[in-house]
Amino acid sequence: MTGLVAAVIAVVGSTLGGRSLLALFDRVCGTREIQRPSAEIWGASILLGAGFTSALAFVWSDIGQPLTAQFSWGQVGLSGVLGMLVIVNARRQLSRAHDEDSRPALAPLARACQVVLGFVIAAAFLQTFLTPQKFWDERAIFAIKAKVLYEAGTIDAPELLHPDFVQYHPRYPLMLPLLERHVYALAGRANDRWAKVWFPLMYAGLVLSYAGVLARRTSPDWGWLMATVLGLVPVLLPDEYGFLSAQADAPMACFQGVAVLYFWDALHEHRGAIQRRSLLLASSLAAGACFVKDEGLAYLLVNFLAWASALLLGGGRLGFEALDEKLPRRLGHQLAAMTTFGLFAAILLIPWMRHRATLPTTTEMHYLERMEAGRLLERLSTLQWSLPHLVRRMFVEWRIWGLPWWLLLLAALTAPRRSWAGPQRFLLLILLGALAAFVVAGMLAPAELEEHLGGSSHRYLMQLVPVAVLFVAAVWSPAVSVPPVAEPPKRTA
Amino acid sequence: MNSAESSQTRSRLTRWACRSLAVTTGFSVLAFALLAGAAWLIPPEVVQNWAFDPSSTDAFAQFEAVGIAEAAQWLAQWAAPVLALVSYLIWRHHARLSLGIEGAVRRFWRVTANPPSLPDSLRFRLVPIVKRVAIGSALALAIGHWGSAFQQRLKDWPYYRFNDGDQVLPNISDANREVIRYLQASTPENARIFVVSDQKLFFLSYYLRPRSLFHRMHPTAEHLIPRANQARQLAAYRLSELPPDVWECRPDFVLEYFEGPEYIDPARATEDRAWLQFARQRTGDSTRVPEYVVVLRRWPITGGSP
Repeated sequence: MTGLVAAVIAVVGSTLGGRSLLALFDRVCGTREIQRPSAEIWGASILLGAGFTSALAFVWSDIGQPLTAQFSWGQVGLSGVLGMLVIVNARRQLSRAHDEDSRPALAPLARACQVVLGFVIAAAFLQTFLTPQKFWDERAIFAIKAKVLYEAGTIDAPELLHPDFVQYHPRYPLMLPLLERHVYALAGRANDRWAKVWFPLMYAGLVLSYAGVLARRTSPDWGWLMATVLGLVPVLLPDEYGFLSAQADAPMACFQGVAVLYFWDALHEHRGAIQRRSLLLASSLAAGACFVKDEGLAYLLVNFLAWASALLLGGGRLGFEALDEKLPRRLGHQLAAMTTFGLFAAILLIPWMRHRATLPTTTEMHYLERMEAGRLLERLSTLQWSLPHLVRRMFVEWRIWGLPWWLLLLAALTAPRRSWAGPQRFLLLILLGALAAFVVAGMLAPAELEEHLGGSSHRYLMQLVPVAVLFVAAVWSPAVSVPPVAEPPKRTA
Repeated sequence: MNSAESSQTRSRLTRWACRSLAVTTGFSVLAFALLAGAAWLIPPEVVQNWAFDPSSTDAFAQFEAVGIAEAAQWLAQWAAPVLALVSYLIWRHHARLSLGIEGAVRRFWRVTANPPSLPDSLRFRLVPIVKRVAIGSALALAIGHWGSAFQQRLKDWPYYRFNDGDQVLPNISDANREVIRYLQASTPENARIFVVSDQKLFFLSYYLRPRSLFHRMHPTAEHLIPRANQARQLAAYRLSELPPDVWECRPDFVLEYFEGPEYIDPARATEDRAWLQFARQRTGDSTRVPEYVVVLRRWPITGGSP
């Protein structure tokens, strides 16, 4: 029972910490007065909080301080106080700006979707707690590191630095192990069942972020409907390898999905401060993805390439902010946005990348080192297996993994012009880039192709599901995708 | 559709939704109340006896059936009263709720409709139908998956309950489980153990913490995934083949643990007397000779088992 209490304290503290961090973003970007849907605020707070909780522990240990129970309690206390202060302040502002009764009632469809998602999120927590960690990756890669971090109290534990210590992928990032360690430290003992609390929490962060941002960009009905469609994709939940387990694929889907969501949001924005805020959020979450799993680095590159390609294919036009600008100014604007995104992510990732370079390479795949033209040409024949395999996973096995890829195909077929317009083109290119990265990984990996790709393709495709659903939501959206004229009439928390 | 038709349809739809909701929830209140009463009144032993099939010889199936019955009764005891209350509240407010449901359906229709700016051609008329069928199918598929997930959780219960992973040692081979228990019994908590093996040792490393396990993986086995029942033999170093730098980890113990036919020497199966005794005690079979080689020694060798 102590474990459950510790888990609850950990996620409440982390989310409040994320809430204060979000307020900091607004203060720095000068967007404090902009009102946003509560779903978006809490969705982003959950993800920022999880990222910040692990990043702070990492930096703390990186500067030589011990990761103790006192540190974790201090982190919870500080995050809690700051988060509460932000909430009280926001409520005060809200009551000054609005009369409680003057807020518009939520449409029945949005309300119905909220009920469904509320039930699903509660059921996700309940189901997660019904089993301890039991899969290969969750124990061999992440939970073992979490136990070592908890016992040794440092990221520089001699075991983690030793090439013969028995763990899988020693260079995999530490967000999940550090989050699990946080629960162990608060509970006073390691019990991997309660440490799984982070995964349904991230699920909640994902669907709330989607509901909030889509509701703000389109309409509350459409936003909540599409968040429900996303939340009910079986491979995310209730499939056992999704958010019910402590594998890293679902968190990856979450961080990459919400990073792209904010990226997409920034592309719709012509107001500098608000666009900057969305870009910084996208950048932080993309950096978070890199701290979840190594694929995050590939996604960061894919996001960049998709952005550049979408810009190129659109003749220097991508977002709606560019409509009345001349080409050089437009390109300058885009370049500045890309630099903001890339630079901020790079700054956040420096400590981890520096530490990563000191870790052993046992069982690592060494994709970059193996990236040679000769090898790629030699292994071109692997496409004969990997491409049909991917198509089968996406479209034939829909009963098992869900319908997001069919929805994407139907959206593209029913609205081809809209599918290729600005931000949607960017999403489509991200998906194509990510799929290309997967088949290239199959060509480079020093493992048996069918075993390597066949055993991981459903999990990899899961990581792309949020972007696929975002594409569907954008293409089939009932509202025309232009910047909103007035601020959305929603409350802040 | 003109406005008069629309309002007529609306009232018909509302009336239908209202009536269906009232009847369904009325029955639900009764059904859940009866279920809750039965779940609390019938003793667990009786329920488990119903689930127990004396004609079956499959011990696992029996164990699972009794555990599922226990979980189902526990669930009924707590969930049925809540569901009865929720059904009652819905029944009480069914008129208002049916209006809400109708509103939600209408909104769904509206958000999936074409914008008025689109031309009225067959192609564009098909688009809303495609959207509604696609989104509806995605939601329907989810309902099926959630039903299966619910069943799966009931099946999981007998195996996991609220036990720690360390207690259950889930989803690993019996051999791994036995070796973990042996090392837990034979080595101190902070021991450093060097393992020579043809197995992937991640689960041993995980469940044996805070003991530290070290292992020099054979380069050809590094990226191979093991298969059930030793169907794939992974290459491994034998103790005599290890490069000298492996001892830099300064182990307190060395474990030789082989399961694959290429590495098993039958003569060594009984070499570690403590292991033999442990394995026999565990199974209650005093003549058992384990099918795999496990030899644990202090390091540097001091002569004999720990």
